[in-house]
Amino acid sequence: MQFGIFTIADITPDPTTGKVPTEHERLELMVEEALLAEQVGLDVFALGEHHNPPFVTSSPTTTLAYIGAKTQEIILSTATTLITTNDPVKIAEDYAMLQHLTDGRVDLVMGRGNTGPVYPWFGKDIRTGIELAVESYELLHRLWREDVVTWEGTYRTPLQQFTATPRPLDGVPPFVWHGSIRSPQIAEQAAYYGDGFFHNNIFWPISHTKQMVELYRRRFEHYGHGRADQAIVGLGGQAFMRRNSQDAVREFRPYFDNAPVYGGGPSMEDFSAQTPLVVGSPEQVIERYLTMADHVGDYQRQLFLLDHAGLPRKTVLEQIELLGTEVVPVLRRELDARRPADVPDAPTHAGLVAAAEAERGVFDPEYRFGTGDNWTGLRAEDRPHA
Amino acid sequence: MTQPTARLLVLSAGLSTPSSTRMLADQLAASSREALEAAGHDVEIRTLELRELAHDVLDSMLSRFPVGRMVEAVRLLSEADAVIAVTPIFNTTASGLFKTFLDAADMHLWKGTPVLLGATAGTARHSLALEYAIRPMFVHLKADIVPTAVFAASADFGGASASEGAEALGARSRRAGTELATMLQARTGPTAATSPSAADDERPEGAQETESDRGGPAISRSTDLDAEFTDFVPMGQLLRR
Repeated sequence: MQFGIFTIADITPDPTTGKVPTEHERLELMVEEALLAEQVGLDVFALGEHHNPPFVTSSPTTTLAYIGAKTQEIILSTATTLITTNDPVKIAEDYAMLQHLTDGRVDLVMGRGNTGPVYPWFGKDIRTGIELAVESYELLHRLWREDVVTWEGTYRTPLQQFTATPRPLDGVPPFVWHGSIRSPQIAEQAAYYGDGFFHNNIFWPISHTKQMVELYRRRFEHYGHGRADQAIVGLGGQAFMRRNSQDAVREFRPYFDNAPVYGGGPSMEDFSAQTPLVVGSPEQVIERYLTMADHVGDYQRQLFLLDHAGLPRKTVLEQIELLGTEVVPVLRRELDARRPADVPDAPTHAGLVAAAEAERGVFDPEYRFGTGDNWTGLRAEDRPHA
Repeated sequence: MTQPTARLLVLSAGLSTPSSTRMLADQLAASSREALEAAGHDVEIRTLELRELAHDVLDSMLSRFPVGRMVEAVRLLSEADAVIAVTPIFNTTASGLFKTFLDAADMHLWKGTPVLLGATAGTARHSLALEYAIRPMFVHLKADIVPTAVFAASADFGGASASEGAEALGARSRRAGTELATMLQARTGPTAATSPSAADDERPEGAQETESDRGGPAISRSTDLDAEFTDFVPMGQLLRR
């Protein structure tokens, strides 16, 4: 099983001091979080995508590539990648580049986005959001699997004889999860392709998450990718920890009460009782997160949001350290032990390559494309006779 | 042959005790019971005063999932065969509490549900608020709205005389109750929750046949997933568009 952290790169005032990080400071912290995550043994660092304040993550592959250069082992992922307002050609290119540069330490979570105006900013129409997401992902899926693509659709200009470069590393595209909170359509999409399904889980009661995952599993089996219990599931989570649980409660309360997402609604205690938010000791986090598999079955990835709501740098780094050194070792041991041998482990590039080899033989990485004319991209045989 | 028991949920957004909104709600419930029993149904009525859930209603709207006593309210709503929803008119439309309740409950809960609407106010000045402001909300929610919505001004509660030449409240209430009973009688099967058909599914080449291929429906009309989690279009259909 894989464990890690995700960030949405929000710039939020610290309610206890009034201090607001600068964009530069927030970016520096994001990088620090990733490096520390690797240091404390976490498997995954995931980054959101936003195109408006108060967020600073408009170019996720740039950030992930930088982090990739400074790390050795950690998997770089997203939370999420917009499959609506991004050009699928660009997604294919950017993430294949990242895949090569990091030797396969990349996967991504497709999301439709939660900010309405992003659609018109990128020339899209939110009213066709679902059709757009479906068509865009279908194209992306092909671009990574077919060397030369001729394609026509509704939401993007046509492609004639197009090759997305670079071709995926070892002939295996980055693993894709589909992220959803409320929409069963996404569970259906994930199941159709045999891709993973990632449910954010935080901010919602587990009874919701459970049903969405159940739907995905049933449809995964329906589409013939394996048994329902063999589907690939990831969950989000959120925690704030101190050794002493009362200290955690006292310290986090002003952050909770003033957070844009939580503030003004149910109390922190009520909210924690009904959602995966745990404010307390590492032992309490372990106890709660051991129960998730009872609701969604044996799952493959658990990510935590630790830097939310305006927490200062030092506190965030302390949270990551506690997660990596105290919580995850226990969760990993217990959850790996309960998972049956024929339920797959979390996807890795190596694992996917091995599976592809078993099916298709060893991939031949020799460059297959004529370089053609530098200016027009034509190959020799396309040029009119000289 | 006995008819199934009809479960009626009555929602009153009245704020006072006693409340004329609650009085109208009770009257509409009584008329509905009368009409249903005449058609041979047993009737179970459960009445919720939204005032008692007010804080949880608001919290549920802020957290975007049901909390506190809203959890039970949502359960009752999902199990109800029909709903009688009554609100005072504040400032030309339904009260904020009534609207917040609608905003805080998942839209799927109302789809295909017979709903009888009622409203109260001091005078008949805003009686058409039911038609202009409140009925459209339930159209949007895809409820099966009973044709007669019943407005009661304070004066309507006194005696049998009509106000401004309109039909007396008792008669209007009976008419609405009868319409509700007729609507419930006419229902023969499950509500029109969207559900994919097996024929529209595509699957990748070489995929193994599963149990569900051999004759049964591709997805069982499962009773263990709430309606909102079965509302999707199979990928085969979406990709062909």
